Amino acid sequence: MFQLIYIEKEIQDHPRTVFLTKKFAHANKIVIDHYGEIFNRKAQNFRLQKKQPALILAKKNPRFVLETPPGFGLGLENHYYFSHLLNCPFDCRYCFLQGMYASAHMVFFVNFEDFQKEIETLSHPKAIFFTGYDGDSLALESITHFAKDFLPFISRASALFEFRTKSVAIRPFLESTPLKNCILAWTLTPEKMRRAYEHKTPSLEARLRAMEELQKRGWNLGLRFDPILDDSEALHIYQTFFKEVFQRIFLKSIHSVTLGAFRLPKAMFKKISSLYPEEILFARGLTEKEGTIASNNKNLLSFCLEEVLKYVPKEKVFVCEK
Amino acid sequence: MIGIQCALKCEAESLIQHFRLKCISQKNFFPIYFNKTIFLIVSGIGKVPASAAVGYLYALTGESPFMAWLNVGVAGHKTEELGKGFLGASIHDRSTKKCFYPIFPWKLTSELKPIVTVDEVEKKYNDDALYDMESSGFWQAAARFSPLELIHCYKIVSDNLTAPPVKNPKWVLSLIEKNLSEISFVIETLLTLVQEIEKSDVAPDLSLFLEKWKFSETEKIYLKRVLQKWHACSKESIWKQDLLGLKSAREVLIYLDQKVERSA
Repeated sequence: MFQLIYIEKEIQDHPRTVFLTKKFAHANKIVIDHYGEIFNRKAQNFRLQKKQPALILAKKNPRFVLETPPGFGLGLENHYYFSHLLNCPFDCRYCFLQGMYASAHMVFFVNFEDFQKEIETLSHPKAIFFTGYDGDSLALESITHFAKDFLPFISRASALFEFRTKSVAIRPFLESTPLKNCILAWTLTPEKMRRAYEHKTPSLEARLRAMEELQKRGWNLGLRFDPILDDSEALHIYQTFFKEVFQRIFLKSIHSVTLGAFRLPKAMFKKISSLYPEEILFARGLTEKEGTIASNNKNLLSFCLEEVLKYVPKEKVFVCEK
Repeated sequence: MIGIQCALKCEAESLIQHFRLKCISQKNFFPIYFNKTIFLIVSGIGKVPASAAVGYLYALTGESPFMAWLNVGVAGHKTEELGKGFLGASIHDRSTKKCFYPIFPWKLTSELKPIVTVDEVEKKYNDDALYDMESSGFWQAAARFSPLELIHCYKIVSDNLTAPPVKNPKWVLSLIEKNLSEISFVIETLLTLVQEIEKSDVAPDLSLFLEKWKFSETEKIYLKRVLQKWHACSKESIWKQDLLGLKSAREVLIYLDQKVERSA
């Protein structure tokens, strides 16, 4: 999977590093001082790197946990996020990471124990910790064992935790008893849009099947319809899509639903659209407001919200506005 | 387009023959050879000549923002077998302590090894690295002009602890020749990446617009982007009678913007 692994000197002997260097015995390994030497350099081309990204094993330094930007949340007192992974193996054209990072390499912070110490100090019943903000929570589960290693910790914590993903790597959850304070949230997109914009991701059908499996076992599920993507037949597509999703995912399993229009900060939009100038998503139907480039089809988001409210009470539905 | 930099003529000779490169002119500051897509420059030994040669070739070939660069040459290693070729995994400049990391956006078939660029011929070979005298200068110059993914160093072991460096051009030529197929693969791969990135940056019909109307530099940038948008949205030709009747560049840009937004 990875032909090249960069390893920070400081964590060469960390058990997760040792495990991965054995797992990828045939990969080239290069020892570095700090991941920024590779990850943050100028003049990198994200699009080219995405063809064959490397893995960077690194140590995360404080601050391990951050507050979410305004406009993201599920109505709790404190919303935090933390990232054991920067970037992900999927290649979603709308993803803000393409504009945020100079590199498409995946940085994996191996020191989970440091994350957990800081989370413990912030944890309380009205707090939620999101994972999967700077990279899909589960897409590299077979390598990172992130969910597997965090589930026992979460089972002892008082706060809520959300894993956000497009992957179907659900084994750790199948092997665990369901945790009341854990939300497994999937980003879901109609199959037509998935094929067009979410490259290298599992199909909608595969994601729904994974969710159904977990639903059977009693896990809390989150539905993330974000971004809502425009199309000449978008209203019909989304109407059919919601019908299918809510036929298969039952209200009693749903912790929350979030929706959001396609939107990107202007600087990120500029960078991403210059990487993919031939991409229709960046060509039309957009307006700029207060430093954000967003879909100008406001009716579509309203329509989707109305559709979702046919299936889910409004207390469980949140619209991401920023 | 790719720019290949070699320190010595004997390092370049096999490549010149293999790719049927022609000499541009003996009057240049550096000997330069070329065909349709490959330019090769012979810099002389050392990182400063390597750096200067890259800058010179870049200017001479029209300053393409997506030019690939490859340094090809011999290097010393403590124990590696003579004639074995490697792509540089990292480039460490011993005198400045700077370190650079090439990026490999393709499936590797070559082995990787760190390169240490030194100012004097290395005879101790302390680390598990290839010792050369150009890579650091080559890399730093090329990195000013091109995306890092397009810049690489290919080194062939010419000396080690049991076989000290010798000045024998025929020996060097034979070492390069032995690795020609792998070097060719790297060159072809880099050229494919260049084509891909150039293709994505193209704005069809741009030159026709620039011929017909007078655009300011800022308007040219806008024009390029709006033409790219049009081609992302529509397979139809943009050339309609109402466009041809427009007088100013500004009118043209407004027209194109409207066409793009209405293309749904």
